[in-house]
Amino acid sequence: MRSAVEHIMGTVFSLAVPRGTDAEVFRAAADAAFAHLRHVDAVFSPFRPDSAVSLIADGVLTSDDFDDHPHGAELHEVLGLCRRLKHDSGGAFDAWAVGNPPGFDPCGAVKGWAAERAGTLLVRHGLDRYVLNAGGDVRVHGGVPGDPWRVALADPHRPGAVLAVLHVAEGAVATSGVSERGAHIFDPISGRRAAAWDQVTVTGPDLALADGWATAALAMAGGPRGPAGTRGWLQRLAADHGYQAMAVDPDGQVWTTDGMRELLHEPAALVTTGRKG
Amino acid sequence: MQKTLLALLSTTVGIAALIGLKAQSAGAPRSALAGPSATGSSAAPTGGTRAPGSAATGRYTGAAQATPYGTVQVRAVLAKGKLTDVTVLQQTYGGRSSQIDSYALPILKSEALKAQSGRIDVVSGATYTSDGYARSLQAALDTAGR
Repeated sequence: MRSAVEHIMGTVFSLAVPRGTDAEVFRAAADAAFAHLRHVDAVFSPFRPDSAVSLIADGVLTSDDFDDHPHGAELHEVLGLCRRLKHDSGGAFDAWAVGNPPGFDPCGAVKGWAAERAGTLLVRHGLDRYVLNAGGDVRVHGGVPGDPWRVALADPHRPGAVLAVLHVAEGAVATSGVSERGAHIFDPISGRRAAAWDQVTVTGPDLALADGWATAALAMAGGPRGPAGTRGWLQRLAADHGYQAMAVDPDGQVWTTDGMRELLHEPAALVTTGRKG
Repeated sequence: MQKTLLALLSTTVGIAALIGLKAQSAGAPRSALAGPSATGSSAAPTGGTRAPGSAATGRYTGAAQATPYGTVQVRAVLAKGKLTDVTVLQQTYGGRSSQIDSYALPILKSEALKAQSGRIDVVSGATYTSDGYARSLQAALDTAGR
């Protein structure tokens, strides 16, 4: 594999392509994708006081101003995605109620959305087969049924260990969890830390949706609907949109949608997920 | 299985030695990991609970290996022939067992997974920080064998 790694958005993006890929094509595609991700970070970072998102959060910039804004189309798109995720999740994902005091922060939607767009740029620059890892959220392209990409799912309770391996030819695998940065996701309805599940993985065609739904499910499970209501919601997403999901609770118990089991290729790993040490 | 286990234990000692090398030279750990083990060690599974069979289950302890950077010993845990865990029992030089845990084990497990279930291409998990990435299995994939 030929690979490139960049630190962007407070995390690390890893891009890999088959070894036979032309070096110059790869370099140009990687440069374009990483440049786009840095651009998105500049526009959407809530940590930069002059970013568009900070101006929106401060009430200085409103959607009425987007048409005259140099990045208005992107702002419209991200706000539309945030509205959709809030609606889909019944408010469990709410970019307008992040933190304390609640404020506008679309971070939970931006990374997956940006990585999906970066993937489009990679194709436009001639990569017909790639795997892009956006800090743990993955977009793969160009696998074939007989030779799919093998996406390992991290075990939230054993650093460095693999819970299961998904075979995916084309699409997204997004995981939200508490193992890397602690319980940082709050249920906006109850205001409590989401702790009923330790990790949720969602896989389907689009990384922006998979990432948003995984984050929403983690928050939802910790809220009034609890794990049982969230399982029902994820089953409905699977039925309506074809996105499959897996959840891991604090005891290491694994739950999946029915369709997820067909994608799993290391089911033996599931019996070894008990929390250790 | 025997072959895999031998390779596994040998890899561990090699990685441990390389991490010792990294700590000595203060170089980047990833560059050191790209090359083969400099020690050419020949770790053997001795003192395990029993000889590994084709569907071995149990704990297998490698021989303590003297390396230029200290004595290294690891234990592999197998369930029905599958590697489920690796622990470092001994790493005497400078007490860097935590470094071995954080750097070597993900790499070791990635190598073991490749050996027993084919390659993995990428790892999906909770969003890591830049620091967390350095300890991640994805970092191991990005630096090992590419």
